Order: sequence, then structure tokens, then C-alpha cells
Amino acid sequence: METVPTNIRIGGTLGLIGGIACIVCMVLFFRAEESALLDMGVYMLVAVMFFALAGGFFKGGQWSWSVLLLMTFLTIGAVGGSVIAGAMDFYVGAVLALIGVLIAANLAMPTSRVWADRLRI
Amino acid sequence: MKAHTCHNVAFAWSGMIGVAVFVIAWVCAASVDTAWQFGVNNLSEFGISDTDARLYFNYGCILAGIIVAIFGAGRALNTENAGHTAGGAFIAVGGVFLALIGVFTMDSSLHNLVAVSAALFILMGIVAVTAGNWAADRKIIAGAGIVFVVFLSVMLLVFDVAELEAYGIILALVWFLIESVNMILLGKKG
Repeated sequence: METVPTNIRIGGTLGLIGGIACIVCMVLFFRAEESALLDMGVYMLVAVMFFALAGGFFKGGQWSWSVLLLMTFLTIGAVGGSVIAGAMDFYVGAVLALIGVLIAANLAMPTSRVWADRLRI
Repeated sequence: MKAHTCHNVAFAWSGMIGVAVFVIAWVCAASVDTAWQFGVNNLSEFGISDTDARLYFNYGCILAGIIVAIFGAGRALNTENAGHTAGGAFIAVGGVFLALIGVFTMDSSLHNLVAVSAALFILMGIVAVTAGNWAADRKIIAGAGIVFVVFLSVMLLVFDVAELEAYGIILALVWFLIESVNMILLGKKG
């Protein structure tokens, strides 16, 4: 029985925090208007991406290390793109992008790669 | 192998110099032609300005284009990675078109063709070199390229031409700096 490295635990937790933060922000920025559909949809999309990332960190997760890293970069890109498109608040986007960067930094550690590709199966 | 490494570092520096030349030309042109506004006017409007901005921009494009073409050729020739070879070749061709922007200014019928070709070749170069970095297990560096391509895709949908051009060029300049640092690190390792 392999113990889960601390950086993997931190990465998974950050993914969960990112997803929950998106859901909270979706509620905070909710407007009962048809024009707000895109904004709400973007928060939901980014929340799903963060939750999927968190899932990838846990035992029996769905992705290899490379795919997990690719998804992290795509999540950071989606957050930045949402801010550029004006669908997400700038400060919320900055915090979520920071969470994404921290997840990528956790994944960049050698122990993460060994655990994600070999030990967790 | 040692000579190969030295060439890589030298070509990497040419990328940084190319970025510096373009930034200096842009800043000088913008400070001379005060009517030009960021994100409102096209960058190519410097090329037909009544002020000296015309000289800064046109000669800046020619010089930066030549240096970027050298950088691309170096990226293509000093590697065995298919992505780097293809990307370097695209960037070299993009650099030639960038130089031609300084020759065929906005009042020329060839300007649009040259400007769009420069942007497309450099974008294809960024995508190919990013794929090459990913395949070469330099995934964090490749990540910057992935994020930039996502940003550019969104900008293409939401920005008008002047904004897309200005922000797109800034992203490309940052990517060139990151890739130059990557080449220097690769060279020092080798």
C-alpha cells in the first residue's frame, strides 16, 4: 500500500478549492438575465475543469501524469480566456489562475510523476 | 555536440534581441506619433504615419524580421525533434514576412497578404514548437505555449483587428522570450 505524496494531496485539494470557488462565484455573480447565461456557463465550465483536475489527483484517478498536466494548462487557459472575454471577474480569474499555477507546480515535482504514472494503480 | 550546444545558445540570444528590437521600435514609434492609440489603431498605421514613426516602425520590422528569421532557422537546424524543426521553419518564414511588412506598407496592395502571412506562420510556429517541447518532455515550457494559444483563440472571437493585433503581438513576444530561455537552458545542459 503506497502512501500518497503530500504534493499530490495538496494538488487534489487545490483542485477542489478551485471548483468550489467557481461555484461560489457563480452564485455571487448570478443575475436573473438572459445576457448572464454566458457568464454563468463559463463559471460552471471552469468549475467542472477544476473538479476533473481534483479527480485526477486521487487514487484510481482517470488520467496519466501528462494528461493531468495538459488539463491543468487548459484550465489555466480557460480561466484566462474567460477573463479576456469579459465573462469572468478579473480578480476571481487572477485567484483561479494562481490556483491553476500552484497545481501545475505540484505536478512538476518528480514524486508527482512517479506516483501518478506508476504507484497509484 | 559541444558546437551544437553553442549554436543553440547563440540562436536563442537572437530571439531575445529580435524581441528587444521590435519593442524598442514600437515604443519609439508610439512616442513620436502621439495620435496612435493602443488597441484602437492598427500597428501597421505607423508604417504610413506622417511623422518619423514611419521610419522607426518600418526599419524596426525589417530588422526584427531578419533576426526572428535567424532565430527560427536556428531552432529548425539545431535539433532532431520534428516539432522544433517544423516550428523553426515556420518562424523563419514568418520572420521573412515580418521584414516584408516594413517594405510593403499599409498603402501597398500586398500589405494585407504579407501581414496575415506573418501572423499565421508565426502562430503555426508557436504551435509546432510547443508540440515539440511537449514531445521533448519540456512540458512546463510547452504549457506556456498551450495557454497562449488558448488566449489567442479567445481573442480571435472577442477582439476586433486592432486589439487582436496589439495583444497577440505582446503574447508572441512573451512566448519568444520564454522559448529563448528554454533554448539557452537546453544549450547549457547539453
